[in-house]
This record gives sequence, structure tokens and C-alpha cells, in this order.
Amino acid sequence: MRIRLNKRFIIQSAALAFLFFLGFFSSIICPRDPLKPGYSPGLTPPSPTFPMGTDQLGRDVFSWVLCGIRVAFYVGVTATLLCFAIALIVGAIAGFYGGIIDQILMRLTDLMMSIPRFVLIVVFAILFGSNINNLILIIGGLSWPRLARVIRGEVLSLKEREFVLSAKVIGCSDLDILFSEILPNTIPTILPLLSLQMAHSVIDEVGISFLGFGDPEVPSWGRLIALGRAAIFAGGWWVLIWPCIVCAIFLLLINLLADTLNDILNPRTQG
Amino acid sequence: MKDRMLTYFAKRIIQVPLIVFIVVTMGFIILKLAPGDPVAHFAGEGASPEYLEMIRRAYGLDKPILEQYMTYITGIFTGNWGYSPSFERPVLTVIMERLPLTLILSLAAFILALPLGVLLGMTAALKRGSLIDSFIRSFATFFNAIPAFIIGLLLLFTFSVNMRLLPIGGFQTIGVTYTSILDRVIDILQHIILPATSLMLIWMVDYTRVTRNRFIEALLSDYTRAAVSRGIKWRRILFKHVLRNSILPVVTLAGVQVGYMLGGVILTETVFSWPGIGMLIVQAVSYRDYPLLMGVLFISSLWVSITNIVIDIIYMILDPRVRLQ
Repeated sequence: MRIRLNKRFIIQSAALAFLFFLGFFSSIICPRDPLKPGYSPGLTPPSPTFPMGTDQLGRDVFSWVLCGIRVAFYVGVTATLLCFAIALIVGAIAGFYGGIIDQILMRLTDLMMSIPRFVLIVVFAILFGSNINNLILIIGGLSWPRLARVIRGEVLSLKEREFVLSAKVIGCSDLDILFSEILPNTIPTILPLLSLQMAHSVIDEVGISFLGFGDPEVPSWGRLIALGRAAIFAGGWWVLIWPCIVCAIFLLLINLLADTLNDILNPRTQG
Repeated sequence: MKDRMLTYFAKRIIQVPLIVFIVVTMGFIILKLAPGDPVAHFAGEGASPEYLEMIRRAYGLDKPILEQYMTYITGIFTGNWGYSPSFERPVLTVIMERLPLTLILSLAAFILALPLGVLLGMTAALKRGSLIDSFIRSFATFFNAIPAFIIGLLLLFTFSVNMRLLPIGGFQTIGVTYTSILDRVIDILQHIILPATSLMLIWMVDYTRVTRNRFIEALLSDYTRAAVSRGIKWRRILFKHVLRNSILPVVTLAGVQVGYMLGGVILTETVFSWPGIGMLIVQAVSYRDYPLLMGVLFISSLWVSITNIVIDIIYMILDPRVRLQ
């Protein structure tokens, strides 16, 4: 399978790569420690020294926003990988073996989906501690059901296809068929969804931090946005607007990339 | 056939208490396993052991765990959902106070989002490739990507803080005596407009995207071409054939949105201090108010299950193929 590189794909992934670069080197690029207070009196407006101003405690908003990119990528990528791993195991086993295993796994999935995910994430975050790695485990560990269903559906339809049946006839083992015949063919469906899942994971973390249940040791956009919500009543618009804009750009880019991937990989559903 | 439909629904409805039972049991186990002592948290630092013991006895926490569980389960089904320590009132009372506010907010957003979203999607599909289409698509992509609470924060900043046009939050102005019922309605409308708009924008574009895709598919389909060649009026084709065939995914989407409403509004309610279930969840979590937390988990899962059944019924009405199966 060859991904034909189109212009949209190149531009969007280049922009995302640029953000990733900023995030990756944020500890070198960012001028100040984002969580250290007292660089200026509270709520200093944007100026050449503080390009995005400072918050109520004199912390540098620019550094915080910049380091927030790294947090977003860290949470987004790891939580999505965890979610994908669980969804893949559950979905592939349920779809491939069917029968009673399928029944049990799908009832479990239904059960997980019978409580709004964000409610559960909030509850778990407060019960089991809001260390950033805990949050990632919680977000990834609670987000898999929808993806698992999609994978199951794909596996279910693929395993009746001719090339799979012929692999079975020539005596390939189950694992062989699953890994070299079925799963590679689910990629076009799954890849755009994974990209979206990354956006969802970041939104979850930003949301949790916005509510004040996030990791206080980590410069998350969510916590800065919560500070900003208070700051706008004292005229400090910059504390709210900058993290919101950067977060929005980040999410928008990921969503655009997901759309582009979908158009490239599944041309028939293209609008 | 009617019998079969009835058995199907009977089966689905029996599932509801079963799912709720499992959810409540899991919730109970998780809360018991969770680290930290809620009683100590509730009593505050430096509370005497006697005081802690007293609280434990008052809430029945000194009894064996199985007995606590049995009491809780029977309570759930008989309307005794326990007592909320942080609100100092029964859990059910607190939830029933907040639920209508969340319903008002989300239904206001939903009722606008559904028709507007479908209309935008239809417009985009009919003018496919035009400037209007690409405008609607960009609009949809934008609001699909950005979470409602960030939109809400930006609206709050623009209209309430900067322009001072609308109230900054809450459900109604505090300490005002209304001269008439109309006054009160206007006051509530002013408070609801921003949170409802932010939810509405996010929900609306979901319908736009789905409707546009399905509408294009239906427009290009053989049955549409056949209908055109038979000389049926275009308007009739649009509503009788195309719309009818693209509406099922919209119904599915509506089910998902309504079902997860209680989780979806948490952040938006917090932004606008809208005192609904969403803010209640946040409060229950911050105070480690476990009885209230269980109640909220319970009502959320009940809401999802009931919505799923309603969607099934709507599906059967709309799609004859489902009825025959």
C-alpha cells in the first residue's frame, strides 16, 4: 500500500511536525521555568520581555504555553497507544474467534460505554491520584471501547474475504492470518480514528486540568486556561486567550490530518 | 411480528436494571478499593478518633462491607440513594434539583443543533463543490475540532467580560425579585444563551458532517436516478427519498449525543457556573462525597441505557428493515 503524498497531507503534517519540534525542544527554547512564580508582579500584559504576559502569580505565560505543547503530545501519543493496544486485543479477539468470547468481550464493551467516559475519567483521576502518568493510564484505559468495536467489525468482515479463506486453506496459522492478512487491511479505517483519538485524549487531559484535578507538577494548557478564566475578570485576557488559541490550533491540525488521511486511505467515502 | 417486537423490547428493558446493577456494584467496589479515607477527608484535619467513629456509625460505615453493599443496592431500587454529607441532604433530592437545569441547557442546545445541523448539511450537499459548500465544510471542521468549553470561554470573554452584554454565569440573577413570569424567563434566557450556544455549535456540526456525506451518497444513488427518470417532482424526491434515506445515521448520532449529555456538559457547566449535574459531579468529586458520586454515576448510566432504548424504538419506526428482522 502506497500513500500518495498530496499537498494537503504534506502541509498539515509539516505544521504538526513543527509543533512537535517546538514541544520536543520546549525546555531549551522556553525562556523561563513555566511553573516558577514571581518573574513579574501579577498579570503583566504582553511585552517584549513577556511575549504573552504573565499570570496572577507572575509566571511566564509564553513558557507555559510552549511547554504545554510537549505535555499535549506526551499525553496524546501515549494515551492513544494504550487505547489502541487494548482496543486491538479486544477487537481482534472478539472479531476473529467470535462465539462466546465475542459475546463476553462485547458485553464488557457495552458496559464500559454505559457510563459517560468523561464522568469516569474525572472520578478515577480523583480516586487514584492525578499524576500525569496516572491520567494517561486512566484516559487510555477508558477510551478503548469505541475503537474496539470498529476493529471487531472490520475483522469480522475481513475474515470472510477470499484472500483470508485461501490463506486458511493453504494452512496458515490463526496468528499468521490475523497479523499478516487481516490486521494490515484494517489500517485504512483505523489510522484516521487513531489520529482523532489523540485529539480526544488531549481534550480529556486539558479538561481534567481545567477542572483542577490535573497534575500540578506539569504545565498543562488546562490549568493555564483555568487561571485565565479567573484572570479575564481582572483584565488579564492574555492568560486565557493564548493557551486557548494554541490548543485550538493543535486540535484543528490533528483533525485536519485525520480528515486528509481518511480521504487518502478511503477514497470511496471522500465527499 | 408485533409479538416479536414486544419480546425484543421486553428483553431490552430487562437489560436496564441489569446494567444499572452491574454499574452500581462496580462503582461500589471501586470506591471501596480507592486509596484514602473519605471519612477523614470529610471530617477535616485534626479530627478526633471519637468524632471519626461517630461519623462512621452515622453513615453505617462501621458495618461489614457486605451488609453495606446490600443496604445500598436495596436503597437504589427503593428510592433511598443515601445521604450526601457535603450537601447535608438526601442524594436523590440533590440530584433531582440539578437534573432539570442540565436538561434545560442541553435540550435547548440539542433542539437548535439537530435541525440547523441537518439543514446546513443538506445545503452543503445540494451545492456540492460551491463556495457555500466549502464554507460550511470549514465551519464544520473548525467546530468539530475544538471542545465546547473552549468555545464557551471565548464567548464568555467576548460577550460577558468585554462587551458586558450578558451575565457571566449562573442560572439566574441572584437576589432579584421578578415582577412577572416574563421577567424571569428573559433573565434565564440571558443566562442560558452562551452555554447553550457553545454546546449547540459543537453538536450541530456533527449533524452537518453526517448529513452532508449521506445526502451526497443518496443523491448519487440509483433510486434517486430512477425517481428522477420517472418524472417525480424534485422536492418530493428530496424529502421522500433522499432525506428519508440519510436520516438513520442522524438518529444514531442524536442517540449518542443525548446519551452522553450528562458527561458532555461537565466542562461547559463549569465555565458558566451553570448549577446542573455537570457541576454537581465536580462538586461530588472535590468533596469526595461518595454517596453523591455513586448517585451521579448511577443516574448517568441509567440515562444512557434509557436513551439507547428510545433510539431503538425510533429506529424501528423509521426503518422497516429493522422491524422485519
